Parts: sequence; C-alpha cells; structure tokens
Amino acid sequence: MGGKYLAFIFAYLRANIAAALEYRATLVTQVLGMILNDILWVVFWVLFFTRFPVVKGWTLEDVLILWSSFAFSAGLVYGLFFSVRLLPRLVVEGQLDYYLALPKDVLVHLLVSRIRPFNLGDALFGPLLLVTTVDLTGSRVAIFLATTLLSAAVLLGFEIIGGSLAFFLGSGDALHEQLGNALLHFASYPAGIFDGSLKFLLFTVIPAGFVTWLPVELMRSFRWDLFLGLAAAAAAFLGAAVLVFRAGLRRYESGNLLAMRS
Amino acid sequence: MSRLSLLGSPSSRMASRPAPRRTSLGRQAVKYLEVARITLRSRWAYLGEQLLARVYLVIIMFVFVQLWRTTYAAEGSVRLSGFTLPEMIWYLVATEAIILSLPRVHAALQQEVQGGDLAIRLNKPYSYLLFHYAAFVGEGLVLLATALGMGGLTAYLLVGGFDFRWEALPVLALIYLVTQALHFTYHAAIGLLAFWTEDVMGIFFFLDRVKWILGGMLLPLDLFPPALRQLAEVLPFREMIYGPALLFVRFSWPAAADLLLRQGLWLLALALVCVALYRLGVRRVDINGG
Amino acid sequence: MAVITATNLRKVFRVARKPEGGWARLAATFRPRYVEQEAVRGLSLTVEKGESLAFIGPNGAGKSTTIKMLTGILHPTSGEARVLGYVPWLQRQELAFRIGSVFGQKSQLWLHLPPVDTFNLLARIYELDWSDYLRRRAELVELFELGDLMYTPVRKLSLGQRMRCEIAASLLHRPEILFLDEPTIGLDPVAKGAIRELIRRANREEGVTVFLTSHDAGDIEQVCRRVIIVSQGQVVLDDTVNALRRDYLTTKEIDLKLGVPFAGGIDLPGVSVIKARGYGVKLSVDTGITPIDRVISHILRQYPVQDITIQNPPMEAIIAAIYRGKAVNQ
Repeated sequence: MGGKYLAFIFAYLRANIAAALEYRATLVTQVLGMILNDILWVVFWVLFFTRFPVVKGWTLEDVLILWSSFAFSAGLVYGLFFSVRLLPRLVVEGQLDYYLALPKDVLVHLLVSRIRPFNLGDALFGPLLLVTTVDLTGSRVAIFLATTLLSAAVLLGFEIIGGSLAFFLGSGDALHEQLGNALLHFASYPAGIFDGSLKFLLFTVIPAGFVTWLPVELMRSFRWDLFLGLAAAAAAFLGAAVLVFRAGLRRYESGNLLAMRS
Repeated sequence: MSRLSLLGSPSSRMASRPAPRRTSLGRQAVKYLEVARITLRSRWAYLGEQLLARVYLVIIMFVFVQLWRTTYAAEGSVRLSGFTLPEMIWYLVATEAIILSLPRVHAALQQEVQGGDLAIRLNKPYSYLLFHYAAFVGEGLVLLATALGMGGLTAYLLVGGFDFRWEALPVLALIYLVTQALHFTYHAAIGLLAFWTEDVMGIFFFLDRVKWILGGMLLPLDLFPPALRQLAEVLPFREMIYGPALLFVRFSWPAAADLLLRQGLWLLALALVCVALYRLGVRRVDINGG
Repeated sequence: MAVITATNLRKVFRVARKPEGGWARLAATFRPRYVEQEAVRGLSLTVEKGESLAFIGPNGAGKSTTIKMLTGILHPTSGEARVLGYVPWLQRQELAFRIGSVFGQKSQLWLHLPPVDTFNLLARIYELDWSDYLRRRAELVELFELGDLMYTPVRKLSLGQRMRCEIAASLLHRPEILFLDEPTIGLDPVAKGAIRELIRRANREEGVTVFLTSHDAGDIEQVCRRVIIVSQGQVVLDDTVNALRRDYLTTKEIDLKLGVPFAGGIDLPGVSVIKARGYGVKLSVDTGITPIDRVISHILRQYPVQDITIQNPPMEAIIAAIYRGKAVNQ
C-alpha cells in the first residue's frame, strides 16, 4: 500500500514537472521573479538594520536566518502542495467531487495534485540566502534543515485547517486568505517587536512563533527542549489538520454546503 | 474583424465606418467619466467583500506599529529623520493606501492582448488606453476609500491622529489623482509588453517590487543610505509613493507645487512610452495577424 | 444481476441565500439565511449488468445529485442504494476502483501534457499493474484509434479528439460501470457520432454498464437501450428507448414527392400540411386520430406518388412532450 502511494505521488510530481517544463521561459521568469521579490525584502531589512543595528536583541543576521528559513519552509509548502491554498474554492465550487470519485485518500491526493513553480523559487532562495550571508557549520546546517522542515509541517497543518474552515462556513475563501496573510506578516518580522498576550496568539491561532521564531532561536543556540517543542507542535498541527479535514469532508458528503453543487 | 480597424490609427478607423464624426471634447470626457462611474459602482456593490479583504491591512498596520514603536523606544528619541512615531505610521498608511488602490490593469491588458479580446475593443469608438484609464480611476477610488478607511482607523486607534492640514485636502486629492495616473502608465506599459512576451506577470512582479523599495513604500527615503537616496532621486518611483505620502503627513505649499511639477513631467514621459508601446504593439498584431 | 439499486433516495439541501447589495451581503456573511430544497424526492431504480441507460430530465431535475449519491460523492438524506454491492457513500474508495466517469464539461486530462502522461498518472491512481496497464493502453489506443494523439499536448487536440482520449482514459482500469455526463456536449455531428460509437462499443464489446445523462436526444437514441426520465426529483418514466418511441410517437411525418403539383385536398382529421412546394409535400399525421395506412391510401387515390418517406419526429420532440405532460400532471 505504502509503495503504491509513493508511486502515485511520484507520478503526480513527474506530471507536474513535465507540465511546468512545457513553458520553460515562464518557469524561469516565475522562479527568478520570486527570488527577486525575496531579495527586495532582504534589501528592506538591510536598509533597516543599517540605520538601526539592533532591535530588541534582533540583529541583521537573525532576520537573514528568519528569511532563509521562512522562504524555504513556505516555498516547500506552497510550492509542492499548492492546492491547499485553493481548498476553500474547491470546497465551495464542489470541485472536490473529482477527488472523491477517485480511489485515493482525498487529502493526500489533493495536496500532491498541483505544484507551483512560482513558490518553488522561494524554496530555492531560502538555502541560497543562508549559504551566502550566514556563517555556517555542519551542525548549524543540520539544525536549519531539521527546524525548517518541522516548521513547514506546522505551516502545512495550519493551511489545511484554515482551508477546511470552508467546509463549515460555506465560503471562507476570504477568511483563509486573511489567516494566511496574518501568519505571513507576523512570521516575517522579528519576534522581539511583539510582546505579552500577543505572543500567546502567535504560538496558537497564528503559529508564527513555530514557523519562524523557534527556528531562529534554535539557530542562535540549540536547546533540546525547544526543539522537541517544535516537533510536538508539528505533530499537533498536522494531526489536528487531518481531523478537521475529515470532519469537513463528512459535511461535504452530506451536501449541505451550497446550492452550486446540485 | 477587418484589417483596417486593427491598424488602430483613428483616421483609418474612421474611414471604415460610415458616419461617425469627431465628437466634441466634452462628449469624450463624459464618455470616460461614465466608464469610471460604472466601474466605481460595480466595485461598490462588493463593498462588504472588500472590507473583509481589507482586514489584513489591520494586521499589517499593527505589525508596523509594533516594529516602529520598538525602534523609537530603542533609539530613545521622539523624531527619527524628522518623523515622529504617529507621522511614521500615517506615512505608512498613505503608502499602503496608494499601493492597495491600484487595480490590476497590467493583468487585464495582458489578457486582452494575448486572448484576442483586443481586436473587439479596437472596434469600439473609444481610445483603448483611455478606456482602461477611466476604469482604473473608478475602481481605484473604491479601493482607496476602503484602504484609507481601514488603515487610517487602525493607525488612529493605535497611535492617534496627527496634524492633518484639512485646508490642503483639495490639493492632496489632485495629487492623488496624478499619482494614480502615474501608476497607471507604469502598469499599463508593463501590461502592453504582452505584445512581445508571454510572461508579463513575472516582469510586473519584479518591477512592482522595485517600485515599492525605491519608492519608499516600507521605509521613507530619508532613512536610506545616501547613495540609494541619490538613485531614488532620479527615478519616477519617488514621485509615485514617497512624495505624495510625505505631503500627506507634512504638507507645505511649495513642496506640493514642486511635487506636482515633477509628477507632471514623469507622467508626460510615461504616457508617451505607453502610447508608443501601444502603437507599436497594434501594428505588430496587424502584421502578424494576431 | 443488478449492478445498481436505489430505493427511495432522498436528498434535501440547505441553501444559503445571498441578498443583493454591499452591506446586506456583509451582514449575511455573519448571519446567513437558509432555505431547504428537495433535490431528489424518493427516487428508486434498478440497473442490470451490461445495460445502457439514459438518465435524463430537465435542468434541476436532480440528475447530478442522483449520480453523485450513486458514486458516493454525496450522502443521501434518506434512502438506500447499492452499487456493485457497495453502499456508495460508505465505501466510496472501494467503489471508485471499479467505476469510471466522464464529464463532458470537465476534463481529467492535463491540458499542457500529452494524454499519455495523464494515462500514466491514472494508472498510478488506480494502482494498475504496469505491464497490464501497458497492454490495456495499447488495446484502447487501437480501439479508439488514438495513435499519434497520445503524444500530442491536449491543448492542441480538437474537442472531439480530446473526448476520445477522455473516454479511453476512463476505461483504463476496466470499470464495470461508466458514468457519463453530457459526453458529446459542444462536439460537431461527426465527432458526436464517433463518441457515441465508442460508448456503444464499450457497452456491447466490453460489457461495461453505461449510465449516461445528456440533453442530446441523439446520445440517447444511438447509445442507450433504456431510458429513465426524472423530473422534480422523481422518476417519471422508466422504459426501453423503443417503447418510448412507440408509445409517445403518436405523430409521424410523411414526406411525399408527387407526380403532379400539389393542389390540396387531403382533408382528413389529425392530418396537417407542414410544407408544400411544387411537387413536394410534408404532412404531419396524428396516428391516434387517423391511422397511417388510411392516410396513405387516401393520398394514393388522389395523386400519383413518386416517392414516399415516413419518419418519426425527432427524440427532442418526444422528450419535450413528456416533460410538458408531466409538468401539467403535477
């Protein structure tokens, strides 16, 4: 069973890559466009820290690590599992029917069905930025990879949960987008500027803390308790995502979502 | 679709039609005003959705306030490069409002050029670019209202107001319209590249970000290192974002006059680029048969 | 052996109503209003293995809702169904391995890739043994005459060619039941004919049970043997296509070529002249009022006849008549 699923996932990946390669020029400009976009953000932070070298203990290097990690994890999640962003629309327009009619787990099938080269530019940029701007040792590289993959899992779980809200709200495209944007914004700024009760929010509802701040913290100085905390968060978010999606799917099958699907 | 109309020059279009006369300037203006009015109304119908979509502006402004509050505290001064904290925040409200009130005209142009709808549009008795500009204004005003409303409200609640010069409102409104026109020419010129390249979106994405940074969208140019500031000085982006946003928080009549003059010159230049690209592009379609 | 049975299927939707206007819509986002809509009301049917069934009805009759329940995509509000022995909405995945579906308006082929890539992907989705798959694919390529099409990006195929690939793709895993929704929509007459022929072959030669919905009477006449008509969520007619034609064909059209110019004089009850021009005449006959043989002998007594054709009115007319009749009854 596992082997057949892998074969199926690779078949999708192959088809996706083949489809992307049909338009090589577009692919290249998209990937380059995203990288340039990221560079411009980095330029902002360089400008900022040139003027104000330390903000609440955060230095330019911290922000560079934050961007490397975030670009990598977000690039992987949105690049490889792009359909998760389309989930509300698929739900509301009844397009999950297609996946339901096929003999594979709906969530897995949905996630792997579409890659987005645009975001894969991010996934390329992250490691590139890290290697070019940050002093690295073997253990630091290992920590970067491990924490970033865990934060990618948190992000994926968060996106699935956010997208699954459409099952319960009947629309929710806007809400999902807002949640995603909120995470994007909080996660791409230094943790030091947020305080108190907000921090609690940023480790739960909008898990920016897990997505970028813990990886940065662990890159500064590694601590097993924090690392295990991150791993637990990844498991919790993914687990909750599967449960919420399944509950939503049951509602979808009862067909009480919208008039459009009759 | 006749070949003649694809040529796109007014005289040949006239020749292919039986009666139409050159209409008066007044009637022309009314036509485009109507286009703007209709787009405005159709956007207004979705006000609820739009306000919901603006919620993230609250988050952006909140994050900005946190960042700058921390920074002001760390620097221990009331003014940074001349900006007080409320002024800094309201400057960012203005830049966000400018950027967020720009409809996606580049995408519309790309679609029409590549999808072939351009041919249909050319057959209508209006200027293609002016039509899109009118729609841009109409839609943009609704976007501006929601962005300014939402961003302003957030800023007001978080850092309070600032010394806004109400008597300058008409001039600021005028400056906004010119600013918007500048952005239109920039976006439209990029959209028109669709005559030559498949991938306008990628180019736009990049050039848009260049505009953001060098226009001072996230950071006033005053905080830039000198070399970069000098570069920004000779590019049009300064007039598209930094200039009007600065006037919004710190108005002065001489600065307004100076800005309008610079904006006018850039507008002229960019509009010429647009028209040239359009003419060349349409001719290309005619030769290659679209 | 019955492959599909459905008993008293019901489906009630709760539909949110969106009011007009910006503010009202904003309010409705937070407090939506619902109305109930009964899309399927107590529908029962049985389909035997190897049948070819046309499942038709006007828009909003509950056709797609029924199909979605039979394929397990939707749960019914009440009622029972078995498809290939499975309860569709409880055993959807198991069922999915054994049925296929084609939606005329929605392609499963990847637009920018040649069909062969989608075929390979589907082989993985349906977990086909690779060598079996390759054999099956070759078989279908030959049967459907796909040849070069298999290696041409889908976006460069004509709609008819694309549809041929669609149907072949849905047969890769040898489904026992094939659900088709408007398979010939948008095609030209030649392509329509080709697609119908293929569906017919799948049915007759491979024994695939065909469950087809369409608004095109030609699909029904040329592909199916049996027809079920639904209206307002209920079965209003379940019969063979031949019987449908016989029972509802109370009118016939007679095309005549006369030896002399037509000069009127066919005044029988239930007979009307549709068209008359020179030597040619077209008559419509209500055989319930005057039998067709009496009409013909009447004509032969009055005119020398060079040619005569008797035709059924098109299927569209029959179905429209049934819809009208049932609508009046309810």
